[in-house]
Amino acid sequence: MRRRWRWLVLLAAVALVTSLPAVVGAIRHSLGVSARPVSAAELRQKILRSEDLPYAGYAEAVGGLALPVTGNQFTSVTDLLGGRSQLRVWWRARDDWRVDQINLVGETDVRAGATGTWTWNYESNLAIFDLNPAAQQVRLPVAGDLLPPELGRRLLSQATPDELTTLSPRRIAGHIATGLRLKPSDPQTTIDSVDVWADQSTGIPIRVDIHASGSANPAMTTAFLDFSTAKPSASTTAFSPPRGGRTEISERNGLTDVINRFGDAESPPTLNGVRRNSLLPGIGAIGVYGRGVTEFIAAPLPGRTARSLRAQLTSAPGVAKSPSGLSVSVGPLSLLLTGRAGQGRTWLLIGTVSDKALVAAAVELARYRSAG
Amino acid sequence: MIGVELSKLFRRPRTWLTLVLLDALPTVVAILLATTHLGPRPGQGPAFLSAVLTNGSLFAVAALAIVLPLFLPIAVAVVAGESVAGEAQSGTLRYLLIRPIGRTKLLVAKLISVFAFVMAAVVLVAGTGFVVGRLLLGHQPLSAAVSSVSGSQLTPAQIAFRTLLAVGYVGVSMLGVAAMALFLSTLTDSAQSATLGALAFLIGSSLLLTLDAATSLQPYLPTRYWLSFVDLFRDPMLLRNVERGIGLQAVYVAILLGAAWANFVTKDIKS
Repeated sequence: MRRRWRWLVLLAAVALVTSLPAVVGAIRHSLGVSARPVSAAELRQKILRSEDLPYAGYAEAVGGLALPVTGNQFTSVTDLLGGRSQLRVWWRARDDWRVDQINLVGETDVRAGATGTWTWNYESNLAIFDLNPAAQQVRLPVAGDLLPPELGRRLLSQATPDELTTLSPRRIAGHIATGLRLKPSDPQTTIDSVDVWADQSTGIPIRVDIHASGSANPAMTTAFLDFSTAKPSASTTAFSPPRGGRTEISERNGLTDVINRFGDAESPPTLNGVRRNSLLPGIGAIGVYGRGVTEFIAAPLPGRTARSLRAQLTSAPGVAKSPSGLSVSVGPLSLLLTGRAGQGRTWLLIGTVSDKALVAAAVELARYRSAG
Repeated sequence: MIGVELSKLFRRPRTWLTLVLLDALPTVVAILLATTHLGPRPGQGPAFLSAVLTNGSLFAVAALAIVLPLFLPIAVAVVAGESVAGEAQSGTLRYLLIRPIGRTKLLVAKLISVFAFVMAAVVLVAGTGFVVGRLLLGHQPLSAAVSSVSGSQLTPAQIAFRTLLAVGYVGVSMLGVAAMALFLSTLTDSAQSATLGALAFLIGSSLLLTLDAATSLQPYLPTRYWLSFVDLFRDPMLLRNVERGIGLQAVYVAILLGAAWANFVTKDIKS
């Protein structure tokens, strides 16, 4: 008997400890969250106007969009969209912020100031000062793009009122958040819905869930786990290269510069009946088509990049071969590499539209190329 | 009783051999780094190892990062696994219990001696790492600022403070292993079985940490926050994972020691 009561006490303690998170969650849920009623259009405006408000916090972005491509330019994107990113952010103003992407043994920080941005990588002991970050109108995604405020505002920026509905408020990172659901109306979209949860008092997005059509789990979730609207100190975002570290100055223009070197190729004004997006003026080679969360990009690839990508896709699982090229879909993302090896220019088509839409666009591109 | 257990532990040549072997690995790494000047490539190798080539003061924490994933938990599991089962295996447990002291007191004494070993091992590894690092790696003066993981400069006082915090945190991280091995040590009369059981527990935890399918379990795995001491060297410090690591270890220690106590105080001692 004596033996038994000790084990019973222990089991009770274990049960108490293991059930504590669920009990606390249930109590919070039963208390409910009340928020001032607001229309979808009002909430969208509030979210878009929150761009200049300061905030700080720790966020995690979890993506299931790992496209089967690697290489110098694409590995970081594949990791970013297909894995778990841990981000710390201190946002004072549009030209004064810092985003750290941390990992187990180091971190990569981007700090923006009035004269440019510093990118610091601890493991490489390298600080790069970018004089011309604004020139990168089209670039590969970076960690900062996955922050809930950045992603949420970007996804809602072109939403129309008929695509938006409000969601019940909930508590996220200790803040009451009001929700907005975007259901794109474009029939070619692969996005089922986008849920953006914004801090009730400021309108700063603190959680974004992207759902692909036909999938129960979100294709991507980014959310603050710690969040504050207090303005971070200037010393937190300031940066001076450390003594003993390597320093470089860059005037790179990113991917646009590389692709625009091949000036003989220019994306057409419309593809598959979709007009080129006018938000990216002055970039002749790369065409962005569509609106809001239903967009695709057409980019003529330099020969070496095209060959490398084709070789990877040829041996990657899940890639389909067709007369239009090599195609693969991961969650809501569809990718098509046009043509065959050694046959004319190769276009990369990628976006949140169906395979069929990309194939139709590829057929038009082939005609456009022939006509040109 | 506690004094007896501590003196028994630290008089044992095996204990000192374990500590020497624990220190040997980082020392060998320091010698190799000093002679070849080849640090690990970005994203590879233990934390801080690429940074010690410019400042040897950081080798104290680099040494902890070297032994933390495998060698330190093995050493802790060996010592803790032997604490009760070793006595039973050598036939001395029943004589220990003949003395007019309660089993709970004996267990507490064993527990304290295991925890003392854990802290001694961690402090010794960090101390040896600091001395070896200063002697062999980086030739910056002791008063020179050191770059944090975030690229800002930390003063020697800040580095010393954060290193002390890291030593304490790594020590706390090992308490879960010690508690598991001590619990298993009360279940079996074989010290090896207790040690291997504790190591199997850790290997299982490390394996589950690599599986996406186990994402929901990962915050509760004992090895989940072990490497979070690196967060102490970011600027500002990131305490989120460190706090969770300490909390998680506290829960494991409380439960496993409770289980060890529940089993040991009423156990039939046959050897």
